[in-house]
Amino acid sequence: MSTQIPIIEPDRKVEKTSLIGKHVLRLDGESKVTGAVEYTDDLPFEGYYAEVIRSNVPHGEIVSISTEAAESIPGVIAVVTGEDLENADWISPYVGPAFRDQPVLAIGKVRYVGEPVAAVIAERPDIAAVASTEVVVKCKKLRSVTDVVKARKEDAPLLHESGDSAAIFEDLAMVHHSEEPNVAYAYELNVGDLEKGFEEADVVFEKNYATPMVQHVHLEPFVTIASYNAAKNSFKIVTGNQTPHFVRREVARIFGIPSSKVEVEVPQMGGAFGSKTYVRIEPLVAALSRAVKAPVKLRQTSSESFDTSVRDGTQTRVKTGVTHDGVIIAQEVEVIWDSGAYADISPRKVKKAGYTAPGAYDIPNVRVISKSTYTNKPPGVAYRGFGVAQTAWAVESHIDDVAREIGMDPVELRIRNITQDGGTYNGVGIGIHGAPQCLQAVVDEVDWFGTKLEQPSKKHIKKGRGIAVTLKTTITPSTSEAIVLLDADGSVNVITGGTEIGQGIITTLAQITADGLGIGIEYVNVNTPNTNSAPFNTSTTSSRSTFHLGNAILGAVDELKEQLVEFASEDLEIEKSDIIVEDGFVKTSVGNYSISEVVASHFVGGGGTLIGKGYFSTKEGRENRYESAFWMTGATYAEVSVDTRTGKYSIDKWVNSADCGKAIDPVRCEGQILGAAVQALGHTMSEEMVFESGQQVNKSLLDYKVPAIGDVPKESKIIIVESGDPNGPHGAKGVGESNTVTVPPAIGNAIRDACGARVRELPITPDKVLRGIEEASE
Amino acid sequence: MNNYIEATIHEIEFKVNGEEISMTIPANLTLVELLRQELRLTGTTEGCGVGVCGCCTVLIDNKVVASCLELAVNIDGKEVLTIEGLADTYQLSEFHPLQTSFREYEGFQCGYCTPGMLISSKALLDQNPDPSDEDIREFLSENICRCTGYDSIIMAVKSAAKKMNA
Repeated sequence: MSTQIPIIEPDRKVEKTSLIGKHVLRLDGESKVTGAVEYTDDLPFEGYYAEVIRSNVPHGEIVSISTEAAESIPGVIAVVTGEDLENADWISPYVGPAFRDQPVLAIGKVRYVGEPVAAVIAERPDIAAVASTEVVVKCKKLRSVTDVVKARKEDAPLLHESGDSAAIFEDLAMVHHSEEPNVAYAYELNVGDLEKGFEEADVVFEKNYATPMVQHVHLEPFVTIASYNAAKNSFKIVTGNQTPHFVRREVARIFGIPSSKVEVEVPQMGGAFGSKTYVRIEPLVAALSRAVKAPVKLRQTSSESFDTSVRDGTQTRVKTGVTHDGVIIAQEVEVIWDSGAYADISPRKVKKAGYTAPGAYDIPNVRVISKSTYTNKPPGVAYRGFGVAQTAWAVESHIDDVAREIGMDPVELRIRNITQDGGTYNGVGIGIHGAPQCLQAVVDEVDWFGTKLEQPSKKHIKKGRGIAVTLKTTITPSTSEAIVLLDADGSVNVITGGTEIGQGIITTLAQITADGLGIGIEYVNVNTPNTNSAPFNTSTTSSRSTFHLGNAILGAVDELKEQLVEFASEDLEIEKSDIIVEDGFVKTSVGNYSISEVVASHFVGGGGTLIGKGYFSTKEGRENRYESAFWMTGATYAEVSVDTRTGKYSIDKWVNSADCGKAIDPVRCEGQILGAAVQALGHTMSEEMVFESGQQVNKSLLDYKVPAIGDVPKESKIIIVESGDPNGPHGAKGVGESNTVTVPPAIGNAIRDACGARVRELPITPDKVLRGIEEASE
Repeated sequence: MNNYIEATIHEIEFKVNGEEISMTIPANLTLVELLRQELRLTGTTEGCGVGVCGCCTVLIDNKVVASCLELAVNIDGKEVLTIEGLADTYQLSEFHPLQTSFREYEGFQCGYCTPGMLISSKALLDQNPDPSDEDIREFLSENICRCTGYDSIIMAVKSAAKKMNA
């Protein structure tokens, strides 16, 4: 008996409707509400467990590491130190996406409290944990520097002697350490004639602003499993990571093996927000597995996330020249990044966030100075908002200050200077971006110019309102590829390097695929990546996935359709021009056939697979190719009540808008907009890594307060703007970050409006508000 | 040496999601370790490890507990409910109305906090079948979600309550 292929018959009676712009249930929803979903730590594992020993001095020379006591504990397999890796002939133990400045384990020197110095490998996690306390690290303390101003002085202790580009990314090919002490990379942008601009201005205003280091607080901590196969000299790595192809490349390089011998699999992730990018603990766990020739798992605690990846702190000086009638004609922004002990991706951050440091405004004369600075603190990495959250805190607070100086409404000043769709930005064309529409949407929603807030009867409570707007780039250039496998039964498998971090990419890609083929979404399976089969994807970062992977999938779907036309033409002996693929059918001059009928009848032997490939790269033929493949824009309106006796404040109402280009699924877009806003609410009100003598003192969620359900404003409105990106799939683009940028300055501006207090350093705590009220009354 | 690795051994009997279990465990085993490592009930996740994020929330005799702080020996003679048993508590359905509503309103993104959030929400609806927004905010105040911004969770809980009261 021949194999019967189940044929999926499209419902011929139902009129096809597009899946684009509709809410569909998330494909990973059932597994997530039942607990069946598998994160890395949930996977069955047999092997050894690792525990990391960390530096307890901010800067020091390693004198000795005693491992004997730990090694003598029953169940301990090995203790591995940086020196072991330095002496091994099988690893080149330095990593990094911009510079290779970070050792897999500290070698010779430690550069921050919490830096991995050694690792214990044991049969059980509890044995590894106990044994780790028996490893004694002796360090000769060196002078340390934790402040970006002191770090750049001539007599400052140097963290790194030299640095050349890792030469991986085109946009980072030119990065190099600066002449200035401890400056990992300095970016400068000059547009027009700044000095002339300041001379022509009626008012020149200058102020300083700052943000502290914060952490992503992805609830799933770092977990990686590495299995070294000695017979093949190959690795399998299972890890929560947003950049599996980068992990593969970097692990292959440090071990001197081809990337085809490194298999990186990424299950579902319990949040990331930029933290799980490039390489984190993967090289270490791979090295440990290589050292003991057995599978090794490392599950860090949530406190150790603070030792592993943080958001750079910033100190920013903004100087603006404006005319009496509100034209901003010159702006200088100097932003100094506290990037911690290793550069990671900070050089790109310095460059990209530096480029948009002037905010969403079209200013003819601009200078930006942006410097990534090494300090003896944990490494600054990518974080939702990628630096723009920090620069916009400065510039969007500053714009309100400037407006007050010239007696103009701050929103009026914004509207007069905002860069227009198709206008210019930093002196060059910018294309469609949606910033004015996002601003207008919140202005209209609250009738900003038509209403005035009523002050409460209680004299000590003051109400105020504020707005902020943003313009942000996405990673450019970059590449995404997709493979869509169409089976003889008409169902499809989508294979990409896109990772599911909670943003819903599995479902969004399924929508685009199902819509493209005209089949039901229930026939589409989107795989989480395994680099052995998944084609290249630069990263799941920068809100780039819908745009880039969506375009790649559209290309793959087109290829499938071409093949279906070819098959039908051959099998039915009719001209290709008489065939189209539409609404799930292969429509021909001799009748309509389901996709599965065409595939199944073309192949023999029980099945057949059509392979559609799509490549999408932003380096060619694109508008704004050098700065951004698309622009992320959004705005926030915040209304606050400040208790002028205590400095405490509440956010009574907020409105968040963001431009999605086109919302593939409006509910999921709203989730991104509000999720980004609430994360930024934490950065506004409470989040700050507090350091004393180079050591973070609030390295736990007990002391590091992130927003809880009761902290979220009760009155909330989300506005989806759809400007239609000319290059996006169905006009769509990324939406995950805009409101991480706009929330803090909108709230800061509202507090200033309410009580006169201008807080220029995040987070805005009640003591700072009180001090601001005092300063305002002086 | 290191006698602190070898904890005393206890025999306990308890119920998890209706199933009776007796086993021998070391005294220092936490409940979340028992669930995840010994029973392979990996739906319960561990987040902060210090009892403040709510990821590892389970019910012990219908009381909300952070299973990362609870020693497993303390469940001797008691009944534990985890996410894997949630659906069975409601008319032997395939899904609890909370699970359906969380899907409909996208009351989750990454899903890591979701089992704890759902278990806490169930405890809320057990006590208060028709909670106001404020009741929900108060009851779920110890369950952190870093993704959604929470509003979709409030809507999902209210919708589930409505379904259950219908």
